[in-house]
Amino acid sequence: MLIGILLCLTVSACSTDLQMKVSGNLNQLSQNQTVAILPIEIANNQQKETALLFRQSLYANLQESNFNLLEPYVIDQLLKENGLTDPAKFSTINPMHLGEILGTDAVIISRLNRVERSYFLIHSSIEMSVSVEMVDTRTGEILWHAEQTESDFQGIAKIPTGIIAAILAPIYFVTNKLNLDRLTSTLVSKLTDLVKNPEELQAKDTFEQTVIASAASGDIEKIKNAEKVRAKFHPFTIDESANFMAEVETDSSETALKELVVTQLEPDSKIEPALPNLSVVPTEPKVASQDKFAVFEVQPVMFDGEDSFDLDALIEKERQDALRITASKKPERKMKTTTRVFKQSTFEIQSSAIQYTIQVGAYKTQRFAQRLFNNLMEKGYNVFIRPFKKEETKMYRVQVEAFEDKTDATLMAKKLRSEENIPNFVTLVN
Amino acid sequence: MRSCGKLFFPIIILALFFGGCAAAKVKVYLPMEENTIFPRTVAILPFTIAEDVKEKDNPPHHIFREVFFNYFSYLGYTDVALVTIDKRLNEYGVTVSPNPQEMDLATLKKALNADAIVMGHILEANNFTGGFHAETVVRAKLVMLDLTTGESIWDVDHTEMAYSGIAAPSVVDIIQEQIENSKVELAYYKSVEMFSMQVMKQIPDPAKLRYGEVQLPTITRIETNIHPNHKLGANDLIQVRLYGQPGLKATFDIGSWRTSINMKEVAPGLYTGSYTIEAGDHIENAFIIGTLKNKDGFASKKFYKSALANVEGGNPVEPKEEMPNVKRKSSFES
Repeated sequence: MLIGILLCLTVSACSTDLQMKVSGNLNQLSQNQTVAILPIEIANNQQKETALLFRQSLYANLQESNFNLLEPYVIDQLLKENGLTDPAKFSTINPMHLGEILGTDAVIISRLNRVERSYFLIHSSIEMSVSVEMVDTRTGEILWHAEQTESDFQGIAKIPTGIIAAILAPIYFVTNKLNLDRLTSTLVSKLTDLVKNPEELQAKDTFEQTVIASAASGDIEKIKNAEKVRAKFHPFTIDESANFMAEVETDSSETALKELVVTQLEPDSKIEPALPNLSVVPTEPKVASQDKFAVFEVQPVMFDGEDSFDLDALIEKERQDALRITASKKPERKMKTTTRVFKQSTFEIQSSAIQYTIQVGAYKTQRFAQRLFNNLMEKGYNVFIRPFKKEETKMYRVQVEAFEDKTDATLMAKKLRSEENIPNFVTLVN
Repeated sequence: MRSCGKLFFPIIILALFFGGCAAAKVKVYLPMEENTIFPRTVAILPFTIAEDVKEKDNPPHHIFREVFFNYFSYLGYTDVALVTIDKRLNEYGVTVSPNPQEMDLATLKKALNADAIVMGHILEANNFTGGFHAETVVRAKLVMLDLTTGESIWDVDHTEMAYSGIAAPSVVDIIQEQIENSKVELAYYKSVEMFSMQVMKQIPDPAKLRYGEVQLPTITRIETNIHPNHKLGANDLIQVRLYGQPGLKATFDIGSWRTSINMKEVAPGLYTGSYTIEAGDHIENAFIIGTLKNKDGFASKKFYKSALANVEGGNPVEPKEEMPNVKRKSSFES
């Protein structure tokens, strides 16, 4: 009898199947780092309430961890603003992109795999299965990965205390909503135990090597490749590096003011085709891989303090910047105010013989060009939008990188076709 | 009468069975829909406990306050940290939870810098394990009070009970719950967690009123002196410039390897900072990431994507015995 009860206790207790691995770097997260628990992916709408409860419980439990949590309403709003409303897609988005959107150091992406209640005469059960992944947005590293199934039941195997209990207990167990709450609470408590107490980590709990999230690894590889290409045409010079901070020290206030500007075109102003100037003349504008343009007519934003800072103007400038990145010749525009000359970029492509670029699109609608520009820029490519006129119609070319060797340009074109699935052709910059 | 006698035992079992598990009912006096000026900042005061509560060794009111805070933080209120509340109350000479009837609301509002408070009072707390019987009971009353108007926003009086005994449906449950209930602190934790989970479903959540306030600081761009495929060595500098909204706090990270390196605002909207590579430093393909944080705690991040940091600082220098601990250098460490 006693053996039977013990056996029942062993096999019929609320069961947990938890498979978890964490990275040693999880320990590095401190109160200075912020983590966002993203909305939970669900399989169907019936799981909505449980998903909310799970997220709440995850949030409450992780409040006891070493890191700081971003408030859920902030997360939800920022995701909404960026059109990311489908939790099923979170795992396919580069975590670095999520880091930029949310301003967090890590994100927790979870999925409610199964919430199941079953009843069969004298047996009922509740089962819940989740998968959770915490990814470092700065590196793409998976810091915590867990798959957990938690279940409980009422039935004959628990040795009912009587006939009534044998019949009623399973019904009551499966219909009482609080039992699902309890199961959620138990599940999350076990799930987060090691994250709350990383000092208890053992070797068996940790990844054998650094694991990078698949959504990040592809983009990192692309950036590495782009780096190689850039390194080839822009070799490192000691002078350049030494001058980096000197620029700030000698002309810091001027530089900052120049950054905080907005360009206001007259309504009838025309954007002339802006082509990159391929010859390097120190005082003349050049193609800038990062700074985007060198000379431009600007109107300073007036600010007497933080309160009067024109945020919209700054955002508008960013948008305008994207369109003006290729302005190497001084654009002929009607400006409201005086012309200011931007400081030369440290990151300029300093080749005088760049001739080839890869054209990935030409659009009548600026917005479409901008979309493709943003998409490629996000992936680490040097992208340019070059307006031009075709039969009196203004159009926008989207071009990627610039090479002096046609073979290199062709290689990049192939890469764009194979990796980004973007049809393109190699063309002369001019 | 005989038939009543036959039914008596099952009825008692059923009553016990269902009795202890009623859901909490929160009375909401100030619906959010009717009040756009809803309290934002909320302080959860130290919970109190009735004097006649038997549980002297492990009074659950501290656990309850912490667990409730953890759940309550999920909602769209700005929560004052518990340690901050205690510290501020202490500064006003209040060592136990203040009674709004004794301490006027204006003073309390000023002391806590909050729009509303949550007060909790444990009316009953009991944890008992013995024989076939195990139970943990927590009965508490929680009230959220608007410190501007003095009106209750919501309150709840609920008993959370975990019971196992003669009425439990199975032998396995009886034994299991006996074991679990004997861990007093954990048993209380579970009870107050269930209490909090239930209450949370009914408390007005002002999140949707605050969506408009969510605005991250603007970073226009980030620059560094690192070059593609160039390895930095000992004593080399990683220099970073960040352009964005002026007057905020800027830091930069080198991947997750070196984080929160302070930057200095050298001109309105231009922040600079650097990190000196030390002997022994080593990192491959790390992004330089700039962060700009405003006074509300909102942070923006921008990755420098044109080059990745590669550092090979060589072998670490053996520290000399007399040498004090050398802190990693960051040019603008505060």
